[in-house]
Amino acid sequence: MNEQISQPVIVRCQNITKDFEGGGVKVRALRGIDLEIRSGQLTLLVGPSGCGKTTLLSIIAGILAPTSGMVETLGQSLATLNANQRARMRLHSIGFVFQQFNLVPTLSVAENVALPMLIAGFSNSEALKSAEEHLTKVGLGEFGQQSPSRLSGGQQQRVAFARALVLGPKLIVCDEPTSALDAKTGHLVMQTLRTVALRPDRAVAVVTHDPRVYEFADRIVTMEDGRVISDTTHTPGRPSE
Amino acid sequence: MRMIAIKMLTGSTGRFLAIVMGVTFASLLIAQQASIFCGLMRQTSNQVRDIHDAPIWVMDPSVQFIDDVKPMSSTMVQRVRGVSSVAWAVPLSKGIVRAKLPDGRYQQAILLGLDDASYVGAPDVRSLDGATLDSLGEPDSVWIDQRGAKQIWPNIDNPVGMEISMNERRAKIVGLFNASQTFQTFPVVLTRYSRALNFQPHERKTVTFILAANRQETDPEQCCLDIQEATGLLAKTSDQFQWMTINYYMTRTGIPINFGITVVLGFVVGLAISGQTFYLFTVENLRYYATFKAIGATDGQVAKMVVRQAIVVGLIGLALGLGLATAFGIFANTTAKLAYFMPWQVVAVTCLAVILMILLASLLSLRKLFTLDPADLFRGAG
Repeated sequence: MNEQISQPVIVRCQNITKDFEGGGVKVRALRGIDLEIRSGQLTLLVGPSGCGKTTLLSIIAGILAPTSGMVETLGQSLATLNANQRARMRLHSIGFVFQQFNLVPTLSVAENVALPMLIAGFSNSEALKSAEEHLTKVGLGEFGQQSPSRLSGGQQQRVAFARALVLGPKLIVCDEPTSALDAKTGHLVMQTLRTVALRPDRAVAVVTHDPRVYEFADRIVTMEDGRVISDTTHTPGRPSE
Repeated sequence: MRMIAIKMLTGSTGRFLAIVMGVTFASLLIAQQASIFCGLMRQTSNQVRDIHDAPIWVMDPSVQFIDDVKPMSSTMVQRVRGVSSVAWAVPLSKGIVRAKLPDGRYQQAILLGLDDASYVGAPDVRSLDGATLDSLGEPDSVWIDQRGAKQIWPNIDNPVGMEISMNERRAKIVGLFNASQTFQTFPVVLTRYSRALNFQPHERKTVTFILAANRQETDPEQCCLDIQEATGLLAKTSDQFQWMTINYYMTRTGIPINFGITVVLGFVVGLAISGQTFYLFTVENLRYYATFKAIGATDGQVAKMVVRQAIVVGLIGLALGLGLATAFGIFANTTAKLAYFMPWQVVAVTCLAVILMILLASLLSLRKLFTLDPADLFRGAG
């Protein structure tokens, strides 16, 4: 526990609430969340459907604004940033991994990985070179010129990891990274995530409802009805309770 | 990002071709219809344009266009010559005659009577058989335009030597010349002024137009004003008379409206096809644009991608459309002999229409992109 506290805080949430309105009905998705995500840890956000874990992840990642409360990512309060500044912060500080991979099918694998660098203004050659290096790290060095549609689901998710890592962010957010994969592939993907993404100066936050991935977690935050109901440390490699 | 935008666009081959085809079709239709319109309008004033050696046309004040013939007294030629800024002035007779062909058929024709001494007013004379205008000195001689001759006698290559009759008088064809097609499409017959009077029913007033030139020290416009002041006739420079004729057809006929409707339809249909397909292309890729926004692309960067894509399809479609319209024009002018004239203004209007089209198509897509919430990508139920 002491070791956990000594790690720098990457994300700090204080009393976060989030309301959604639709058809004249207000729904409170988050009810006063206090949470810190520290570097060097793989943190799982778990809980039943509708508990607010994806909403929390979106707020942490700066793509959704809370109704109230304060979110600080890498020491920067997101509320003080305008849309473009938040976009820049996401680009350089946060890597995204989506449930459906979201690889552009008309681009090659390497071009998909190079996307964040191209958005950041790097030249094509620089971006593609770096993309090839990151593809090698996730074990897909020889697939750079292929279309993503020719890869298996697990391989596509590893490409998504490479894309998330290519600009060296301090925070990786993953939304259900294994839900579109079979058990064995999901296991391999999580192993890759831990091996490649997790570093002492980087935090990884994963939303999941797949208990099979719990064994890869350093910390498991369980949510229910918009609240954190438990926050436990965990030793990776051991089955969770 | 440029490379990404283009690859996303061209990677979806079917959509890409559909958008390009939409722009191509629209620009082809706009350029082609506008060029036919310009060709027709040009035809209305071709007879003025064909006469290179007279910078000034003098006519009855009530004349509205080249085919609006209002004869004047021959003494008017002397009065025009009497204007101090006029270098010279000659009569021109222009009228519609009914020619009887050797096989008994009748054919209406435009008869031009040129000044006997100078032959001023002859169109671009390029004899096919080596004859010169001096051959009009032969008794009963006339020249006929090559296109008109082909229209009357499709199977005869050279009608020189054939005889026709006009107003019960024999006319012998002694030469062929090139004349631009007229709006009425009648053959043009050329002869001396004095002989032309015999080929038409007798009238007291015989001069249709007076062709004149200004003295070197006076410009043509000033000379026209001098003529008008001194004679009470209407005097126009060649260029002014061409536009006067074109304006008559523009304002007094339904031609511009008919062609205008087709051009607008071309624009609307092109916009509907390309705009809708481009919009659908954007909608199909919304997930990826949302991914770019989530990763860190700003709205401006995403907008640039969409605008770049629109510019690419616009440029390709425009080039193809204008290319096809030009090819059609070459075919129309050489093989089909249709009225077709594509000035730079038509190209400019087509470009503007395509720019407007891709702008509207992009706006539809951009509206969708700006309201796109990258948070939607996290579709987990939690």
